[in-house]
Amino acid sequence: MNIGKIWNYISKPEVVPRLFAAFLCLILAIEFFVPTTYYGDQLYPKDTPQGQIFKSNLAPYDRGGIPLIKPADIKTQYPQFEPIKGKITAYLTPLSLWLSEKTPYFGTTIVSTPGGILDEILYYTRGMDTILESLTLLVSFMIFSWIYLNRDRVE
Amino acid sequence: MDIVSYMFSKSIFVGIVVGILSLYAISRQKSDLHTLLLTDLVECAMLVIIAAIGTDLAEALILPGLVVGLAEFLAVSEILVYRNEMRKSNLSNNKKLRLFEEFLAKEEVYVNSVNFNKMEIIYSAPKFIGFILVLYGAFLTGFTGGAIMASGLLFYLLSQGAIGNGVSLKDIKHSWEAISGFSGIMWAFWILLGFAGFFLFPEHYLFFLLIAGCALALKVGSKLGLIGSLRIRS
Amino acid sequence: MSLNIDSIAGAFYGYVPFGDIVFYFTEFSLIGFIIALFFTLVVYLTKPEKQLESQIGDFGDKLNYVSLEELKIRRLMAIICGICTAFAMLTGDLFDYALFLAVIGIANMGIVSAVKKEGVLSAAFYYGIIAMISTLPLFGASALILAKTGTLSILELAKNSHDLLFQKIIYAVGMVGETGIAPFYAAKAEMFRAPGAPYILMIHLSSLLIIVRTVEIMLNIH
Repeated sequence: MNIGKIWNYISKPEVVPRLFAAFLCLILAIEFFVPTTYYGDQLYPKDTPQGQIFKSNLAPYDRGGIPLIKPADIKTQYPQFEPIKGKITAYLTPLSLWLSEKTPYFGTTIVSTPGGILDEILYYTRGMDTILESLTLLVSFMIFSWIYLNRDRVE
Repeated sequence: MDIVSYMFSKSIFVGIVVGILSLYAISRQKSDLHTLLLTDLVECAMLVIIAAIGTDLAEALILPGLVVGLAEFLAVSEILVYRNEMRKSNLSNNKKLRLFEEFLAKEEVYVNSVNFNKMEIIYSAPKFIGFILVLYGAFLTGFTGGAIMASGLLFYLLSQGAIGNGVSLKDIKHSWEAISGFSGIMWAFWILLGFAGFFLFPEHYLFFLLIAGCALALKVGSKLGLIGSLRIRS
Repeated sequence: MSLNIDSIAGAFYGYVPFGDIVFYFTEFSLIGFIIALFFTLVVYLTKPEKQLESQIGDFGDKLNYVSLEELKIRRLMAIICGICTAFAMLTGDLFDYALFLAVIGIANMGIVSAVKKEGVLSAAFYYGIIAMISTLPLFGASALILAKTGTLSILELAKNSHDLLFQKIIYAVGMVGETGIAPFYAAKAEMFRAPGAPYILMIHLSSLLIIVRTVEIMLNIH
């Protein structure tokens, strides 16, 4: 096998994704031989599955706390940097408060008005993640709309 | 031993198997369009691995992973569409031998024309469905609310485009730029007033929380809704 | 839980906490931050190059230049790429770092894809495919690290030994696919005679800085 032929083969742009995918296959296959261990004491723990059903109307996202009065009980990485830890988790808008009194299935809807458990993580303790996530959407939208709006332009 | 750590290694196994199979399919794939579709399957494997952790943090990490995949899919598919159009016009315009011709794939470009005349739903339903979805999205607020609002706008505008009532590119250019500018301003609003406010003035967190929720909904809703205003070109 | 600053390599100058995600300054990350911001300023201020292409077997030379609309979008993408590279130098969280890589990858795609040439668009498309499939190793590895150690903070991971060899390998492979491979495609785009500098150079610089920073993270966590 001539090495010059190999260089020419991998110089085509459309070949590189295929080669990279094959390489990733080999790397990921090692995972089957590596023992996976699970550290029990995780951050932001969940209750046991089905553990809160019919005990709380916010199941499975009830983390304790009373809106605007008592912060919820959550475990974060650096509590000393978070003066309002748990307050956003405990907060419910008046609308969602009303809904949660009416139905025991409130936690299973996506009416996650500001202050669901996920929103506390996304807005406050790990807010940088959400900023970057929506920045990705913004940038990809810019690329998309630029290509779309300028496709008929002639140089 | 609780159920999450019991299921963890099995979920990871499933995720890796899905990932390896889809990556193998990509490595054997010659068609660009199929490669693009298969990359979505790779992202599903990524979501399975993240979800295997089973804490609230994992649920919060799934959303960025999903959105990054969605965003890249949007940009890459538009690049592919544009590339194929350009290739078609290049093939018809000049037939003479060019430098670097070996870099151009020999794949044929197919443009399917779908007949929309028979679909009753895009004549009668879109106004009603779009209205309901936008109202429901405004009711939800936050990221999910924005996404639902966007899907309502998307459905309405796409169906209008499909039956030929869509606006042309020249008409839409200014309003498009205005709406995407509005969406960008909402993004900045959310970061400067929402996110930074949590750390600068922790005692007024409620105010910043409401700003963050509403600005995010408006941002996502206006942005994704714009995609629906594309006119389908036959 | 107190902030662990002893196990990080290099002198520790300070930190900016945003909840769980702590941005920290060491000798290395401060230098990388300043270089990336300085080059972003250079990209903002300089004008793009023009190319004169001589025709073989034909008369007349062809002038390649960057038109105003194209200049605007490519400069914006280069600036986003530069700022994200600068802040990726500082971040102290594995998942946040992975998201920075995703933003840099998509901005690189934007720099390349604004050129209206078929070969360049083709290169941008295949780079996008690689960036999309490498979200699996990148985010998957950070999820595996979270499951094994119970934390995502680099400062905490540096404290104890966790035996993370395989996860680190996958994370590095994900980094290579997301931004490390970008110069290859940028070189392809230059080969197709797209007038590029200084925007294409931003891809090279960000990818270089990201590779060095990933090596630093991989040496710090263990």
